Amino acid sequence: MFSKVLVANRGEIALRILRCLREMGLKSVAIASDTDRLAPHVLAADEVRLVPSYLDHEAVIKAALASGAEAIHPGYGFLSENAAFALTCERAGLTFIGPPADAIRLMGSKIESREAARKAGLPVIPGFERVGANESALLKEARKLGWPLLLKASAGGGGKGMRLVRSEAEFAGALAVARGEAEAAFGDGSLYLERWLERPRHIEVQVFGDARGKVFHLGERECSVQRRHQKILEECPSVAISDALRKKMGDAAVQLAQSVGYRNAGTVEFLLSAQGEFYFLEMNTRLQVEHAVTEMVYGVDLVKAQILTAAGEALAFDPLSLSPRGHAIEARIYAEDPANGFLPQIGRVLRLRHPEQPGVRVDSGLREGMEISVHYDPLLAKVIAWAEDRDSATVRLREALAEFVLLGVGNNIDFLQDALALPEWTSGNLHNAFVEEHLAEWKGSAEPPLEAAAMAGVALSSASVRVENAASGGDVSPWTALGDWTPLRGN
Amino acid sequence: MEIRITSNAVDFRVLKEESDGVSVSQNEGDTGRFRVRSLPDGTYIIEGATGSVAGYAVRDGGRAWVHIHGRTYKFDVVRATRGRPAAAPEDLSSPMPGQVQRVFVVEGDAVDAGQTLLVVEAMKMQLEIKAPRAGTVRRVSARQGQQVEAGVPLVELDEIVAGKAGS
Repeated sequence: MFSKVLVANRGEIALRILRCLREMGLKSVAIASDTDRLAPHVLAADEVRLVPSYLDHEAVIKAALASGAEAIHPGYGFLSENAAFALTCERAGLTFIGPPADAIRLMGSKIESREAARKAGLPVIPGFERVGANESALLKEARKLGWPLLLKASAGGGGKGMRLVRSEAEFAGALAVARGEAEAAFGDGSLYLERWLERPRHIEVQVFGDARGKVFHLGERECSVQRRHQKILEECPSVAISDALRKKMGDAAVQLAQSVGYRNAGTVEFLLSAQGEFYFLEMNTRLQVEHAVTEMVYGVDLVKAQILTAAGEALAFDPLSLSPRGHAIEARIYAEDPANGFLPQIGRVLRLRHPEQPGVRVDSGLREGMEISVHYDPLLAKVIAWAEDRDSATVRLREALAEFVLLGVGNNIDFLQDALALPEWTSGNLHNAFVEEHLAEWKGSAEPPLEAAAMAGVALSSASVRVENAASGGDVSPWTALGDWTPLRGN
Repeated sequence: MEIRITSNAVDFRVLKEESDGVSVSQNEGDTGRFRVRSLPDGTYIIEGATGSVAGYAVRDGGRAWVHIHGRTYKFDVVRATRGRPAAAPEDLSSPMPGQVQRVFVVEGDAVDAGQTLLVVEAMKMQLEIKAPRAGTVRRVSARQGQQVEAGVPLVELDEIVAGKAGS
């Protein structure tokens, strides 16, 4: 086993991994950008190394070597699906906690991964992919596929570099935007086309390859409820998956992972049509944001499993005797305005209370007084509720969200509560247009009660907790930010 | 001391009385009297005619954030200048700080409603700034690669062009 591990991430996922390292009795190293010097993940690690950017391969490797870490956990996002980085780790004598670089590279190309899936016998969505295809070639193929269709970045993920094109008139504009987004986010502007499926469900299978190369799956997650192609509600199991279908999709996912020599945690994503047919969408070669719902239902620690596997050790559970129990649902809390196109929000966290209920897990990267800036992903925290069945888990999650106090930064907590209260959620009638169909007109909470106005009046006649020069939401260094902040006192 | 506050286009008058007493009236609506106490940990206790409830409130300059009954509300102090629109509607500004990635129009261009005028990147997202209606581009103040603050006008649109209207 390693004695020291560097976590190359920030926010809630860095905290999740750092806590796991502590439980395992391993020393930890955090990395931080200049504005993150006092971020929660930094304070949770045994030591910290400053880096110019979380994406700077060389600086991250140097930090690991200088601190004496033997392995790097990349979390999700940032360097987690970067084959070149995994390879650089290997060459520097560091263990990359994740799959082999070859598997990352292959699956990182949407175009090549579709080919690999086809070879492994998985159904793929009809589309057009050719490396280096130019605008006129893409347009010609788009006409053949018919409108609407999806324009996707080959290197994409998380909805970036993806555009729905409804008609030919929108094609050129969408192409420019998708290409720009793909270049900015992934450094690769290659695009491909995919037929648009009408209101499919998003179902994904958690796969895992242990240290001896045995690949197994841990059931599915349904993540159909999305906005701007990003998931906001995820659950395990899916109401749409029978035992027979679970076996079929699970076997397909395992087959694909095996065919590419997969090790460690990975997720094979599928679209499930209204007719019950499933198609390979992509494979994410990393820990997924929504891994916690699987952990709660299957009673395993996937991060620990990742670290054990990377160290060449046996898992802490027997994959053959896993027994899923109950139902878990995750809600993602974003700094965004759901009443205004889900526009990202910035500001300072002025009041924060996490929910505390039985069966509720909060993975949060928040701390009172911290500034939410434009620099990073607007995902702030995840609330996961487990209960014996789906209805109970839904109620529990709504209650937990109602107890989540986050003042000072616009967020989607009220929106998530309302989404979970919809009859379509309760009946499990989910598909990827759920938000557009049922929540497009969402305009925020109803009229405030008089008590709220009374409290606001009292708060406004008391001293401000926030200095005026920070009110612009400008970039404030955490050093000065902490100095400025004083707690609110009664009257 | 009485202050006027507003939330989601609903206006309230709040009057702080002696000790912890607070009277609230909603314009053309309900009124209520409460006892509001704030505790050192940030909790507010509100006692009304029918019982007590706990919540959170915090001031952020001229704005108060309130959490009660599982919901979050924002209240802004009503200022004397209220009633004047914040920005002329034809000014298209960046909704948040970011970098101008692409500019698709030049001065004098006729544009359709919904047409993408420029793209601003913020928080790793590409935000398309679209024309709210058909018109002619009067002025383009955004340059590609420029860092922009929220609320700074990037493009100005003229009145609807007769030929383009209804297209």
